[in-house]
Amino acid sequence: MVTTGPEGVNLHEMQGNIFCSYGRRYRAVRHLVLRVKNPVAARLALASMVDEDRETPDITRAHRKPSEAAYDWCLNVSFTWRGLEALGLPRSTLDSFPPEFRQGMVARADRLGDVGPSAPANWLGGLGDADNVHLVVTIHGWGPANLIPMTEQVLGLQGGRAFEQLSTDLPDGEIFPDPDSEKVHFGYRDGISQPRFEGATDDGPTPGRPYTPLGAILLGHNAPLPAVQWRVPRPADRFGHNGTFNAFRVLRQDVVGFEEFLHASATTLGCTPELVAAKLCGRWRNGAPLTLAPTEAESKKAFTTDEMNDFRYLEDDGFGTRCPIGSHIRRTNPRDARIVQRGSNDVRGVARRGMPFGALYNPEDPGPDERGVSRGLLGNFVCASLSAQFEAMQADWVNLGLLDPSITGTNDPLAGANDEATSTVSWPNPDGTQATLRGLPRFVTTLGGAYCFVPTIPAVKWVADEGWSQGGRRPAATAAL
Amino acid sequence: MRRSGGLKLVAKEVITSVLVRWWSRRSPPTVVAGKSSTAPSDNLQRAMNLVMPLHKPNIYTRAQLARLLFQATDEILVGLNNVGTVHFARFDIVDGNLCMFSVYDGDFTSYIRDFIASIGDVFDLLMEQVKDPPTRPVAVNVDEFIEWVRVHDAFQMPESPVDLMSRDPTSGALEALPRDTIIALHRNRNVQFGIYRAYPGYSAAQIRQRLSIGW
Repeated sequence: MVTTGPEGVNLHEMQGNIFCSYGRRYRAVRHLVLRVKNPVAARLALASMVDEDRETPDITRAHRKPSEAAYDWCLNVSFTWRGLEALGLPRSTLDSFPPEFRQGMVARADRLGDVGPSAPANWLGGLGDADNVHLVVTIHGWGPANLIPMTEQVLGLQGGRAFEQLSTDLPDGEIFPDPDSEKVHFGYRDGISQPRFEGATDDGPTPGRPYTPLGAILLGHNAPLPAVQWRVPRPADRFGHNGTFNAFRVLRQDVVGFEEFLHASATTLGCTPELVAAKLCGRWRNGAPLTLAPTEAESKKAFTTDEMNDFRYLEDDGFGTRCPIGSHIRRTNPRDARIVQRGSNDVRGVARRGMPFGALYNPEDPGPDERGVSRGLLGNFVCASLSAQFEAMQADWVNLGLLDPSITGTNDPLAGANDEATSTVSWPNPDGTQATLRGLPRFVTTLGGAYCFVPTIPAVKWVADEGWSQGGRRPAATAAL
Repeated sequence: MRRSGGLKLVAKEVITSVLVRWWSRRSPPTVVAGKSSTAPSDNLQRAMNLVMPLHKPNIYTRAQLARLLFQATDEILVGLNNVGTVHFARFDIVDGNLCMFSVYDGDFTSYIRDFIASIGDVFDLLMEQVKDPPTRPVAVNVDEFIEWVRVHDAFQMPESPVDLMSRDPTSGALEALPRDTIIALHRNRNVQFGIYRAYPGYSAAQIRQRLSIGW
């Protein structure tokens, strides 16, 4: 097995699903939102998850090729700040985390647009109870059946004294059956534009997919913003270095409402629903980018993944006549477009690891109560700085459109916190007129989320064996075991 | 009669002072500086009132600052251009404090971060004159610097009178102020009461675009 990754990072010491996703071999996922019941039992449980024995499940480590993973499951662990506090980490470590992580996602709800129906008071999985959300344990399985035994094993660690699941109402994710396995709800092909890291993939950089600096995803490396460095949690050498953050999000998608909006808008504009879907996203639902394939006929061309990413905006589509400036992919990845925050074009990107939940919706053959079906995305947005990457994108670009004056004051038509009374999206037509849609409802509602720290394997060992010692003194909780 | 009224007023002030201190000790902070809103216009043309106490507010320090700011004018203007979301910014010395007052668009932390990425070295020099400065270089310790700026930014009171005086916005009575407001006024030496806009919120880039001076 290859163990050397980007910039000499030892992949054997990294958790999996960071540099590259587990891929479609693992078709189901479950996120266990856990509270630390007993800190000593929890630390012993964590120690058993990195000891490489076969008696208890171990945390899955990074592989150059996810398909080489031997097991029918993958297991990963991340911690909230409250969780690290509950485990008894020293104050010097807790205080060394950036403020957005210390506060947690619930406290940052306004900034993220999580208001109204998306407010934390309505969240599932116990995620709104910020004080008690301590760990998010992620289990991937070849299928839903593989999730159950792993869930029992995790909850049963240390005789069940380590962790308590806050709630069981969080849905499991499952990849759609073929041939729709690359799609997510709303019908778009997903995961086309992901950061790639030198040494983490077998193929080299291509014009459409250059390498991303490692500092975009791992702490302790040069950040994508020149001259700036993110704070590495202390002790950096044993705990913070090569760690990363994950913004875990449970997002409900109003699939039926979306399809209805597409059809109503197509009637208004005198075009096809597919063109409206493409204009809102910036890609056709098969993944073909509007910048390269502005017509439905051109979208049928068989693009490779590299070709789907090999486009720029500045010279080819500066005014958004093909890919609207307010579309989803142009807001979240402006590539080389001229933007207000000069120099931030490549700074705010995150790695996305997600899986849909809820049955695939077929608008051609809808079921009897499709509106009542809960559908959405279990999303993980991985980055080295939650504030500089995830929040900056969400607050300034997705929800305010601050990157270009022509869209400032509008929200992302797909993922934004839209209000029907004020929402709008527009784009220039080829004949010079302007197409405008108003009254976009909020298609994506937040059902939960948490800011998590994803430590390396040695860092988990440190938490389990040393990090709790608080200067050599055993914590009082030891006596309780 | 007059003396009795005066005593009542003093007694009321003492009781209020004790009561507010008790409230403040019991209550966690409920309003944070730089808070966000989902209304776009609330997130445009926002104010930062950064108050930085000088280590030695004497004529030597003031002269040093004057020289530094004059010398760094071009760098500061380039920094503002790179950030792209600042309407204007100015440095003042008010009572023993170096102040930076600015009006900017969008997320507070993004504004400070982008500014420091561009002209962090200017702030490193400014921080030499400031009391209890953050760790330098500020660009290398940008998370700490953003937190330091947030703490030194004048506390932002709710901008809406409806929020500020939740019970009866038209009431002239101090008792109409909600407890959160009283506690915030007690805890924070410097506060700001929001911006009175002469026109709806537009971003700096929108204004430049409409004036055809680029963005």
